[in-house]
Amino acid sequence: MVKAGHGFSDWAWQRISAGLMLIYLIMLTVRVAIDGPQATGDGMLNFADWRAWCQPMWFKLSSLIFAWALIYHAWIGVKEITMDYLHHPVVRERVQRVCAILSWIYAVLILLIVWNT
Amino acid sequence: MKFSIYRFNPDTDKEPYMQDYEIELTPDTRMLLDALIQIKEMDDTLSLRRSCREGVCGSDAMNINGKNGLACVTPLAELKQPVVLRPLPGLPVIRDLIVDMTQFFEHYNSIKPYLVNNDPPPATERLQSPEDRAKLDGLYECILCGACTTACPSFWWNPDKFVGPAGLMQAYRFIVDSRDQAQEERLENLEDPYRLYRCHNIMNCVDVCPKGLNPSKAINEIKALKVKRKLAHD
Repeated sequence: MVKAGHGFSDWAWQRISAGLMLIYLIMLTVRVAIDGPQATGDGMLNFADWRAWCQPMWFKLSSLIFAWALIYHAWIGVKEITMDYLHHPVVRERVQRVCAILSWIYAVLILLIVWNT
Repeated sequence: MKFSIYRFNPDTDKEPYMQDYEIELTPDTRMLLDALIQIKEMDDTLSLRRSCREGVCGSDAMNINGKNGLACVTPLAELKQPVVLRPLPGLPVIRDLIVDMTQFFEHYNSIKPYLVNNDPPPATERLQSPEDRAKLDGLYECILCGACTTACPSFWWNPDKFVGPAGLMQAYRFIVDSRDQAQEERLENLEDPYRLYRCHNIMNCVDVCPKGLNPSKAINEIKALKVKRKLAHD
């Protein structure tokens, strides 16, 4: 097996994550168009209507995959930017570490939000 | 015709400055290099590289009105006045319009710009089919003038690590050569996150290439080959 250097893997994962996001956005558009949330109560869409619309397990799972793909895509992007512009290794490493921690926090938060919806 | 030319002599100048020149063009002065030679006759302290004067040697690459190009193939009629001439950006200036291209050629050398074939040499040439030969078109024509690499922001940011469009296009020229046996090593040699993957398809290289080549396309072909290689090995 070829050693997976992070030059290739970052480049590949950035495209894979973009592909996943694109698939989700198409799916979301189609679902809104043909099976959008139904207004109950006063005829206006409210929080409860949207919440009910987000309940199916397949939708929760795909939303989670989308959010994680977005976070990973952004993380690779930030890493690329720091590699381009931050030439001091210590500064670059610290900025990357802060961004990595933030990415993990977002990933866990989004899991909690989606699961508790 | 009016010119504003970057001047710097490290022996006498503390910092670079722009010097203005105005010359009467003779009827046979058509290209920028002709005008520069005329200026040099007037002021022989002006330093620049030039050789073939027909876009083959790549010596007289410089920044012309903000865009890299070859002085010898740039018609004066197309230039706005005053014509502002600077050395190629991103490389150390030796003097006036002459830059130190050591780093550029080190990157070029790093991609092993020669055929690697361990089979015994045949009595005649190593033959290729016309289809395989056609794959080298648009690649072998590079004259290594450095216009593309020095126009590339990724090279400005990481000149010591990023191979640059000229070097990468030549890397692809050998990767895709049917006679070469080192494709695997050549692709592995570009695995580092800086050498190839600093290219973000900004495409300044395509914009400035005086030979009309497309280094960006060659770089993307290398990336595609790396995907195929990865899929084949897993």
